[in-house]
Amino acid sequence: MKTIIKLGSLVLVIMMITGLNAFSQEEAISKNKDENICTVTFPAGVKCGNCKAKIEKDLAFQKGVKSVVASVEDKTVTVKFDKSKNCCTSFVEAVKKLGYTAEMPEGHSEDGTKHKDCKKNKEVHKDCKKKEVPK
Amino acid sequence: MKSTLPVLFFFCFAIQVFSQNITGTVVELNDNGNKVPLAGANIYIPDSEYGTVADDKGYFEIFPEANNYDYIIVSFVGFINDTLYINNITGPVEVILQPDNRLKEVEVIDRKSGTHISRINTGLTQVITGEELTKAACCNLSESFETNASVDVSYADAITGAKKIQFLGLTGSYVQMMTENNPNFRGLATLYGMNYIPGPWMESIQVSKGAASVVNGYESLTGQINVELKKPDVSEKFYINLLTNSAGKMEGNVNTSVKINDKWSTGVLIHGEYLDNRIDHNNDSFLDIPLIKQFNILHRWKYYDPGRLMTQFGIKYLKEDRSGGQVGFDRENDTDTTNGYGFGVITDRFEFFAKGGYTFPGAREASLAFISTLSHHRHNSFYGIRDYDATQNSIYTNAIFSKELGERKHRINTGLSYIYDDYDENLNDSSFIKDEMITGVFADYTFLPHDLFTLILGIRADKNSLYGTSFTPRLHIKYFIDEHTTFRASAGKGYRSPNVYAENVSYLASSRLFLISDELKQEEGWNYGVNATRYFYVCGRELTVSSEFYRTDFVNQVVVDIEDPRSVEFYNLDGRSYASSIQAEASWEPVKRLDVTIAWRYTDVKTSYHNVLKLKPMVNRYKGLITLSYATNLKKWQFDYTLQVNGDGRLPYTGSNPETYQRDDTYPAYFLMNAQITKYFRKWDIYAGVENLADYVQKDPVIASDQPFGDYFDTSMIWGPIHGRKFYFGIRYAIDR
Repeated sequence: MKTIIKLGSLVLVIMMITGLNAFSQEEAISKNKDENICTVTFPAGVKCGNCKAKIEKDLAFQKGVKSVVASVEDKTVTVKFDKSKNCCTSFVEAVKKLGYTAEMPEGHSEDGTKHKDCKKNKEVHKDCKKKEVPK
Repeated sequence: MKSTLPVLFFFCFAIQVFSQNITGTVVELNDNGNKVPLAGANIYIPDSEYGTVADDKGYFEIFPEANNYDYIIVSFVGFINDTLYINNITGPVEVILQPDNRLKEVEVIDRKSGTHISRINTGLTQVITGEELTKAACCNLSESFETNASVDVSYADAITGAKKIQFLGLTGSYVQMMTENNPNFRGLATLYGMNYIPGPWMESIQVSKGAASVVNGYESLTGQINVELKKPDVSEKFYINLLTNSAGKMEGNVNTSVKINDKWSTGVLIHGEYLDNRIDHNNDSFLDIPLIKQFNILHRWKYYDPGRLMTQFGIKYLKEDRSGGQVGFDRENDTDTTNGYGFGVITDRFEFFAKGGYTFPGAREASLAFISTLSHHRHNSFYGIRDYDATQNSIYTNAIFSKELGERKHRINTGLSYIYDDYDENLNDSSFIKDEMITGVFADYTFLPHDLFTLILGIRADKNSLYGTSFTPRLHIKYFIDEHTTFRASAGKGYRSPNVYAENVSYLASSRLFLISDELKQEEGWNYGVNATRYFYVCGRELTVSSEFYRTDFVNQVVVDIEDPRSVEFYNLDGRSYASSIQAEASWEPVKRLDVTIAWRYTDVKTSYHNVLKLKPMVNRYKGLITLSYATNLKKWQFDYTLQVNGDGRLPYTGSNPETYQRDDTYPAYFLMNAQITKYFRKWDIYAGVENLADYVQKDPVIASDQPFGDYFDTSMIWGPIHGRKFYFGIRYAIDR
């Protein structure tokens, strides 16, 4: 009986340690992911309700995008995304490809890879490193 | 008339006003109280392609197609948005925006739910958008009301697949069915017509309750259901939808549209479906679902010059072959014999339509419109050893002149209409020919003393070649009690010409004798109702609560009496006949991207059968509905669920049948559940779902299925689902404009 209790306690302890370890790893991963999340707002020719819906639907399927809001009032598009998977350039290009005007967000670096709000990003998407800034 | 009228080639050009010229200026008040133009202000219509920007004088022009849009948003950074209700705009508007000094306390919802109550219409109108139609299989119009508490759709019989609707407790014959404001699904198209509009063709559906405006005729006694089809200038450039289900049905839809230049556009909508799988799950020897082959095509041209002229014209053709009956029925060898019971319906339907609208230059408040439709419908059918062949040729023309009188507070619409229906029916060896011409004149007056109150008073006079002259008064009132509460009331009279065989053809799939009284009169009734809709903001999201009461009283009705199981009798009402409907509905988004609708309806429908007032059979006494729709972030997945509780009701008397062919006096309440999952990709999406999840079926829907040529055979006693659980899977691909 004592042996069973000891073994049972050992198993419980191992499970707790394993669980806590897994939880902390998840937290670490999540924190790491949060560090990669960046929000940029750039000007775009969002003229109407359907334009807004079209832009939001298209950008939603860009890599790493967490949320998209196109504003008719402000004529802007705000994208929350994982900067290790994508960059501002892609979104601007995507909006232009839909037939709307779009400009790089204020504060972008000359090579278009780092927005001022993304300065802490150490991992820049490989495709962003050599991309030309759209005119 | 028949021999001298080349129906298929007669062209009556039609113009209908439905472009609205809206102009105005956007200003702010400076510190001195003077008006200063707000150059760059945004003016747009949500969920549409209409948007513009004010110029340096604050001036703007916007020309939306009316009917589908409730309001315009005027916005400018740093100012509070203003909302203009389109229906209340009768001239140039001046919008004064107020600076936004408030803290943002409320998250304004940018999403529009799939179904909503129109704020623009004076009458109570529920708009079912294209988004709502994608939440279920919605293969055609008849399947588009599964998530709607107001419209019940059920099978008219157990074998033909014919559908009937119930609206405010009454059959669909008292609802005016329209396709883009053209009266449709009349006469021969009554029973199968809702299968003729494929889901992918529809842009939206408007369900209006109560007697409708006099402009569209006298037939809308309980309401109107208007289907807007996809327009070539705004719909997808290319769209394809493929679907299959566990019954073996295969369906394909292809839509294309081309904008030729900034004024002309054209489009083609094509639909095909095929079901050749013989299913008899309840083992009554009859197919649960008829075999169907259908081909349907619509080709349309549109010309749109904003603020001036808009016109559309097109053709539509449908061919359908529908058959069923006993599992072993051989159509080639057993037709018109008693070897086996079968039915077959071959339908050919051709339509031509043209419409447009013209705004007089320099007289913005005056416009002219009219619509014209020609249709030819051929129906060749057999039900056992009963043959029914019929042809219907119809013409519909409506011309409307609209003008403001003096100030913006008064508007009058007036016009003329002409309807011609030519029926040629043959039932076995008997022939019935009916030519009916209706010429009408109408006028309605709109009084709009201020934005809060609208009154529409209408009157029309129609001369019917068969039934004489009739007068139709209609009244509609809308009042904004406050900015969140709307009160509506309506009252009016309606008429309908009966078409006994064309509208009751499903009774031919039985052994019931048709007993038709001589001198059937035109149906006539009054409808009145009230509605209150309140918009709350709960947790920052809009909660819509609506309650209504409608009542229809018949002055005369052609009673369809199936109280004797051996016959179906048609006679003029002798006594009282009425329908009362009370409904409450609430819609809310409790959690982000989760739309919830809850509704409850109670109906009390009674008719006098040979002067004895009874509950109308096969009308549910109540209905409950819960719909849940959840979309994940960025709408990559969507989950939809519907739960209906359909109340009990009375069944007609079958006590004189042998015991095995008798049914209870009432049928029980039952639940119906549907569910669907959709995965969205950039240009395409896939969906899978289940209808009738709980697999509930009405037991023994066919009476005397073992003796289909005997005296007691009857397929018309249908109150519930006749086929069980069905899984379906589909894929959609679209290249948007």
